[in-house]
Amino acid sequence: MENDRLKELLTAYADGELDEEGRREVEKRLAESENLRRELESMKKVKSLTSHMQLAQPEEEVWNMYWNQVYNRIERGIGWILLSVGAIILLSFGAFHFVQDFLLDPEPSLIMKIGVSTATLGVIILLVSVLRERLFIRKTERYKEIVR
Amino acid sequence: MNQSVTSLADAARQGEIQAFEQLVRQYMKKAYFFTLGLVGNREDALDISQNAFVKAYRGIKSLGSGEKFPSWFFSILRNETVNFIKKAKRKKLEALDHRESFLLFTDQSVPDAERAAVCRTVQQAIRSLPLDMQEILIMQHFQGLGYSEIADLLGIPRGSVASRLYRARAALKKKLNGVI
Repeated sequence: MENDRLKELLTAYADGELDEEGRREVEKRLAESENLRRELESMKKVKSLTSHMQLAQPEEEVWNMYWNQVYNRIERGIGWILLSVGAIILLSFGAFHFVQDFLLDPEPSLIMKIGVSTATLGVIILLVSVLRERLFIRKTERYKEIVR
Repeated sequence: MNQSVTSLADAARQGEIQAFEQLVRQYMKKAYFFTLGLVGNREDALDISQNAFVKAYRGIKSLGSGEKFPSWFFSILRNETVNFIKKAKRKKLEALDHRESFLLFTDQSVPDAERAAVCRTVQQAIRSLPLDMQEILIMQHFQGLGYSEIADLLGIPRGSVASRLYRARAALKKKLNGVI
């Protein structure tokens, strides 16, 4: 029997995952090999230690609220998309009228038009940048409470 | 394969949110405990597992067929968990150092102090192993999942579950020399 196959069978045997035929095969090999018996003992020791442990169970309330929390996240995602689309529509509308009413108006000087356009663009870029940073900080904020 | 999972996933692919809700309810505990075992913190485990479900919801139309849902979802969950661990390591966040123990010793005959010490030792030993070994140990030893279920979730053959477990246990035993 290949070594790898034997290791798989032995592991499955230790976990009770073999059918009758597999069990008989392993038991035959165990009877013939001291090394194999030691290997099985070693595996059982690890299983025995961890069998006395379990993952910490949360309160039942966590499971009661779980779906609601997932659903709220899905909704918020949709909300952000709608807000972004709305903001883009409004900004585009505003930009169009800005171009139409101010930039195409012959009265203000060219230097004023350049100044106002540049400042407006700068404000938009800063706003997007600050919003993005606030969202990023909000995601990681809870770690600031941890004492190092 | 659990037939109801296949039909629920197929219904969810058609946009039925109630079907997706049933999938969440079926997999939420497995997802939470899988992530808890890897990140060691309850709040992060909730956050990561819930984000994975949200991503699954958004991408469910790309799922080829309902019967692939378990392994497909678990690959999303695994990616979310791995990304979190990488980010946390980069920022050297204490979340990964888990001050609280996510493992509990159930044998009450052992003194409290000894129970806590053993749990911490086992946690640290598991945490020092490669991720694929951590996963398989958590799923088999602490979540009590059978080989077929693990194979289903990880999208690997049943034989691979046994061979991964063999290597993981050997590596864990080496780390726990002195305790075992």
